[in-house]
Amino acid sequence: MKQRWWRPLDLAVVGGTLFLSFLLFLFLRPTEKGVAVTVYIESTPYGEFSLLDAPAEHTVMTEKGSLRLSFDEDGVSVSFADCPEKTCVRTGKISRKGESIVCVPLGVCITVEGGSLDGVTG
Amino acid sequence: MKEKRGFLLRLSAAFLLFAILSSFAACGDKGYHVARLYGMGTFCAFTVEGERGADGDALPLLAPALSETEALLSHRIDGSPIDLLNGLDYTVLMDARLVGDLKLAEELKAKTGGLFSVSVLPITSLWNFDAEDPVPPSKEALAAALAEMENSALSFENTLVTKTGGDVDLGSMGKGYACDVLAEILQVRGESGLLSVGGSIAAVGKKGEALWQVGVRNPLSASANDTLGTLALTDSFVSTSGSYEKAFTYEGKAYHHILDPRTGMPAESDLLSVTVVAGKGALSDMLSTACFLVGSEAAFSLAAEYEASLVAVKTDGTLLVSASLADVFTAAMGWEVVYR
Repeated sequence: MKQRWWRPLDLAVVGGTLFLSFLLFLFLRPTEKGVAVTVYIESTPYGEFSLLDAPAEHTVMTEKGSLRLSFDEDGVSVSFADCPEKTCVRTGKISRKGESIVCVPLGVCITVEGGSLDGVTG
Repeated sequence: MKEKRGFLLRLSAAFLLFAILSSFAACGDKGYHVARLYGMGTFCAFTVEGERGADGDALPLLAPALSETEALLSHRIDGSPIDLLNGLDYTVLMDARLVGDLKLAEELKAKTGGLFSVSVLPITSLWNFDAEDPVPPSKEALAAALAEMENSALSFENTLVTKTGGDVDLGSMGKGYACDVLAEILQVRGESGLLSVGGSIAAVGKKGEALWQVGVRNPLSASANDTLGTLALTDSFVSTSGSYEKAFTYEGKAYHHILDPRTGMPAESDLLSVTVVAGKGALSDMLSTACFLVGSEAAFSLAAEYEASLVAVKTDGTLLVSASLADVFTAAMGWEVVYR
């Protein structure tokens, strides 16, 4: 009788390894979607928010004007800002690590902490 | 038969080891922290070694250096060297780096036939893109400003700088200059880091064993988080000029902030944005403006004169990248690169 070059135990080892690797990948990979959102007014951290608390709204008051943050399950966006450019409103929703909404006229920066990019030029 | 089984087991072990190592590698670099500051009229992000507030944290050195740089370069600060230069038509700059970069600005002015200039305060103040409700200036006001800028020049005698013609606005070099100053602090300390001053970035050393990953903003998107590709950098400086920044619409017409000093109007370039990778921050900043102004045909040869490389997007959406960046730049999905 011809002997097989693999045995059932080999399959179990390979299957187990693949399963373990999958689990490691699942739990140790950097999750793209962030949870912690930090808001800065100029150089000072103003507050930390969690996307897990969505839906919610929060108005940030600065000396130069106010800005309303809208949190939902998909991310955070600026729904209103007392600034002329409205670049922050046009930026739309952010949810991934490293993404930011910047309102230079009001001096407000909203950032989802972390991310695969170290910086963005533009 | 045993050999085959042994091979299979060794293969499995290697795969497991690879999975463990790659997963840990993906966990991120815990040796750095990010500090966000407001300075030079924009948000800055400094990724530096160690823990924030720990002994040896570079941040207590970087933050005041940023303020000092703003005090050196801003024409808006009473008594600043540039304010004095504008008011007195001459000044003694003790900062040799700034004198060198002002000379470079004059060189770029000559090479671009006057398209790039730092003697542009008469028109930049007239447009006032930072105003709450900017409006285009009247033809009369623009003509007067352009007359003021006629025969503008800076001349140098050691560190004595003399100005003729238009007042100086260093908006086209300030953020890159700040990157030079801040990068030097890390270099002297033998540390690495990524220093972002607005859209200008200094990549100092490496992030551990890895290169710094810097996204390039997509000028066709309203979102500042939408990138068209990534630059993998070490010991380089990056700046971007784009017509999407500081733009406004008035009576249905869009106006952007990169002005043509010959007409005083927003430049009619065939480019939407230009990103410059260079060996110095002020150089990358000035070149990004200069390359935008000269347009796609002349931009690549101008950059090459300074051993700089470009990522440029034309108004028709074409993505042009210097061939020297072939191993450095990775385009995002959906972008086709034309190497120059």
